Amino acid sequence: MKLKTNQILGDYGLFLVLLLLVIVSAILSPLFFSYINLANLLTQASFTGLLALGMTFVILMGGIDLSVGSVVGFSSILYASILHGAFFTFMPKEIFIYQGAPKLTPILPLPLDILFVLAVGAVIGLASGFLSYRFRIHSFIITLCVMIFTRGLAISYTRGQPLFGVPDPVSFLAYGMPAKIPMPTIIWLGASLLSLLFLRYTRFGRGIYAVGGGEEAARLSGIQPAWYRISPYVASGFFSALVGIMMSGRMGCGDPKIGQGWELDAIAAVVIGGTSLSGGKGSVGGTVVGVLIMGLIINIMNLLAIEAYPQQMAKGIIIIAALALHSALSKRRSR
Amino acid sequence: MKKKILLGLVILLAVAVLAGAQGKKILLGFSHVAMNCPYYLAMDKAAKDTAAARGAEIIVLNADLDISKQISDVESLLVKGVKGLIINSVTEYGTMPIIKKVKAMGIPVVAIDRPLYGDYLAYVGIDQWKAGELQGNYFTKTLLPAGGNILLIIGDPGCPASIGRGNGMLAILDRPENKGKYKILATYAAEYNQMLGMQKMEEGIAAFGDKIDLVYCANDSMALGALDALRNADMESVLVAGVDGQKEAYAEILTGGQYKSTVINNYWEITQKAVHLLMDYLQKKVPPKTKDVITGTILVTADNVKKYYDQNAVF
Repeated sequence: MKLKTNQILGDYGLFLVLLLLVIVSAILSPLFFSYINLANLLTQASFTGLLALGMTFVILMGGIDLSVGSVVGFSSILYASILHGAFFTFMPKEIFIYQGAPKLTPILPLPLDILFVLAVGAVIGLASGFLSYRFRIHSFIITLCVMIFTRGLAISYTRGQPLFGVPDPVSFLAYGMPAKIPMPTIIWLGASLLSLLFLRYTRFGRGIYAVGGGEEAARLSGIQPAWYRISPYVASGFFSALVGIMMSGRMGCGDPKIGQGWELDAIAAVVIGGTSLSGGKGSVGGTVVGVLIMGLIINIMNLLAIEAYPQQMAKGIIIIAALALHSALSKRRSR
Repeated sequence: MKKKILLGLVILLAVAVLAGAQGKKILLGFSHVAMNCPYYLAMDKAAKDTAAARGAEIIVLNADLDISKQISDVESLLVKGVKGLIINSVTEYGTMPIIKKVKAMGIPVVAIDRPLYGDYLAYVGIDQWKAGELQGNYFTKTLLPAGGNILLIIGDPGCPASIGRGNGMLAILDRPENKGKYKILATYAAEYNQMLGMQKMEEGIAAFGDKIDLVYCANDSMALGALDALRNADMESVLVAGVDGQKEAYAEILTGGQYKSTVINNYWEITQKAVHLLMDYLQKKVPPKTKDVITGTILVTADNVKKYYDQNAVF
């Protein structure tokens, strides 16, 4: 009997926590199950979710990517500046005074400009991964430097100001509701599903688990680690750029300051979801549940009008509690 | 099982009880930009007091200078079913899409302190540009008529208050009669916070030493911080100017020392007017007479500070 309980807890522990949170939220606030609240909850979780998705790849590899927040901010203004016809040239001294919706003179036509910014995000990830692999420096240091550099670049580029003017299709990415489901959620869950299938059923995906679990063993099995070590960062950079573009749609402007601290939320979601920081163990499914758990907790605190700083205290406690829970559950499973 | 209960308790511990039932009171929402300086805290108090006086309930959410949190805050207020929204935007453009959504739901919006570009019922605040001009004129005509070097400490580069107060002053310096006489040594950003203002001033002192003649800060909190830094460095002759009309600033001006001037930005008048405007519109269907309600933008110097100084004021 005991063995069965342990097994259930071990396999479904996370889902039980999720269920518990939903019940607690519904009890504490009658507004919880309203359509508008659930839509908000899912929308807000989707941004963290996409960052957490990229982060899952990186952490599975035994690394970490601290630069995601900065890449979000940088992509946001890179995209906005392309729309305004400026391209890696520093912004003029004049402040943007509102004179009605600006006449956008984009350098690239619509789908290409998004693809370009996504490519830039991927290249930043590539640089992080490559530097970390080639010079054998821990990704913590490399991505920390990339984080600082990219944020500085974004803010210098626009002298700290937001860039106004984003076309409707991009606003749709943030606010659209096809079939009454928020567009960001569709993008997030779609990407997560594809990633889950990729990691589980392709050779490359399983190679990532192998290399993350132990590079020497993987090498002896005939896997060349280089590309496996670098590609997670490319994915992380790609998703960060995607979030940057979606945030531009959400705000109607590019803003170099957004995304500060989001890397920690992404890491927290991945950790709550059960992926081990030492690499090789974990799953995209767990991350999705981790994102939802964090989203639910933030949502119920918002519904109860808890102030911003006590919310942070709660977040901290919850992440530690989640780690304790995981360690207890994994001990039980192995009994 | 024990661990699960622990987790559940932890979550419940982290949660506070919702204040009271709503009943027949009108529910207002206030999406505030930050609570990191006395001015914003005073606005929070004024909003709550005025709403209570009008028999309404108001929820104040703090976006902590983060535009994406502000968008989430407004969404939360919408879920709660607020009938009217007061918003102090982190950036003027970033809130446009969400305000459109609010307007589409038929909820009137009053912009306060920081302007926003969008469809709102009214804007209540001082004329930020004029505040800058008032200071600019004071510098060029009274404080430094022969010219000088100025250090600029703004709040936040994207913020309309900084833009108005800074550029309004710079516009005066750019006038033909003033051209060439004044030099801006550097521009720092200190988030309207006193401690950061002090830190940035220290950096300025390290970089420019006695070249500085005057330091102009976009708000009094930062200016008071800069004053501390100057006093620590024994630089008693450098002039200091701010904006907002904080009572500590008035106290300094009263002493006749290096703190020379500020511009009134009366948090009470602004917040109170905003709440009244919103309630008048909701209860009596009376729209505001003008879309831009500019409250008194008055320069305060040693000449008139006695009229405004009140030791017991909240701000």
